[in-house]
Amino acid sequence: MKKGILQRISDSAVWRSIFRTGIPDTDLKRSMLIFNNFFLHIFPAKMKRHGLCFSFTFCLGGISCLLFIILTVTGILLMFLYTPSIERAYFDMQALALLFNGKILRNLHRWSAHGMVATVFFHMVRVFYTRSYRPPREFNWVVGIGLLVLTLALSYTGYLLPWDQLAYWGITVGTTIMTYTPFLGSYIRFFMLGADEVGHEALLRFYVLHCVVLPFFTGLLMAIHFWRVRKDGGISGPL
Amino acid sequence: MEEKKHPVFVKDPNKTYGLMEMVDGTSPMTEKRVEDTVETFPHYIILLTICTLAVTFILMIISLLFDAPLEELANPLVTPNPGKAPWYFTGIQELIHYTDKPVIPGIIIPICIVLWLFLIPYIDKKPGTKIGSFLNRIFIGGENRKVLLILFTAFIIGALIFTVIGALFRGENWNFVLPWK
Ligand code: HEM
Repeated sequence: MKKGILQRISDSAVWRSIFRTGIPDTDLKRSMLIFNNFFLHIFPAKMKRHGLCFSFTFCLGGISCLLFIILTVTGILLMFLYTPSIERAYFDMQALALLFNGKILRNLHRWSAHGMVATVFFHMVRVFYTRSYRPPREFNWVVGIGLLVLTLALSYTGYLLPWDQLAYWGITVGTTIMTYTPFLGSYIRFFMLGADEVGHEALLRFYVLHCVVLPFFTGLLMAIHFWRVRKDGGISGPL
Repeated sequence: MEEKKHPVFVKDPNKTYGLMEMVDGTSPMTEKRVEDTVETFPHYIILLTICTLAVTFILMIISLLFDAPLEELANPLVTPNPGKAPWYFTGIQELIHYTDKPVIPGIIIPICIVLWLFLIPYIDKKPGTKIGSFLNRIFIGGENRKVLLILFTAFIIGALIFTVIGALFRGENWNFVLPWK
């Protein structure tokens, strides 16, 4: 029988050097395809049929993860175009809005960020109602709450960066709430802002937190979260 | 039978074990409860691809249709009325509006909620002691966790309602307004 073009490519030495497995026409090859691939090997070779039910997870954790990836990519691109200084930040944003690509880039980053706050919250709601936090998954719930707090912090620190009225007063209102803390209130606010008022110091702090510190810890906790999902035996069963 | 004439597997007389049976199946799993599993490829990978493309596509459409807001340059001398926190904190702002002790909705309630969320998996457990089962009945409501369900549902609905009111239904001086007017 004559070999098809696909068959030939997937039999070629170059293809095999990269992907090892040929056309996955047996269950063995299908498993090999998963665990011989760097990106796929975080998945098990087989999954519970039940875990794939859309109506059980609504894919909310997965969508949160996807939004985080989109945010990372668009965020890095935005970093090439943005200067964290009160003289330039706002005008960089304005310049971005003049270009179609720049506008789309910023819109994608903004709407994904809002979306992620929502999907992470509803992911928590789903996990609660399916009672998936029960042993052995207690700790993964704790990691999850950490991720919820980090997601809010990421969104909040990003809110200041455009340095427009919305940003400035959003952060002023938010950090004023912190001053209501008994005894420590004004110290906490000073620590957050690096000054008594929202200004250059606050912008720099929020920028470093938003672009380096918080994404790092979010990525770390996400790695632990996914690792635990597998160590705890995959998606929990029905109630 | 066929096997009698041409035995496929001859039992070695020196061995205490032998191949008993050939079973049709696609999994090498042994001595384990049969789980209802499917191959990750293609079942999950297809789902993953569709979901990824759909979400990305929807985000693209939203980003084409709606521009991220950019107001005037930040100006410490011009206070907008009302000054609003980002939408996910307007629920707290709304609660602060009801009281003259802002420390309660602003600090104490959020901290308590986060602590309570952290603790949920550790309080909703099979109680081991008498005190444990007493506390369980009060804070969880027994095996079907009635109390916890009510508390959590109240938290979710409360958070949604106050957030929506704070974000959309509050205008100048935090007075009630209708967003479509
Ligand atoms: C950045 C935020 C988060 C990401 C990216 C994320 C991602 C995921 C993913 C992909 C799964 C697999 C199942 C699914 O998609 O539903 C999962 C499961 C889980 N998540 Fe999250 N998650 C996040 C936040 C949270 C939060 C806030 C909680 C709860 C407080 C949480 C608790 C759990 C638990 C307990 C499981 C196991 C569920 C089960 O076995 O049914 N996660 N997470």
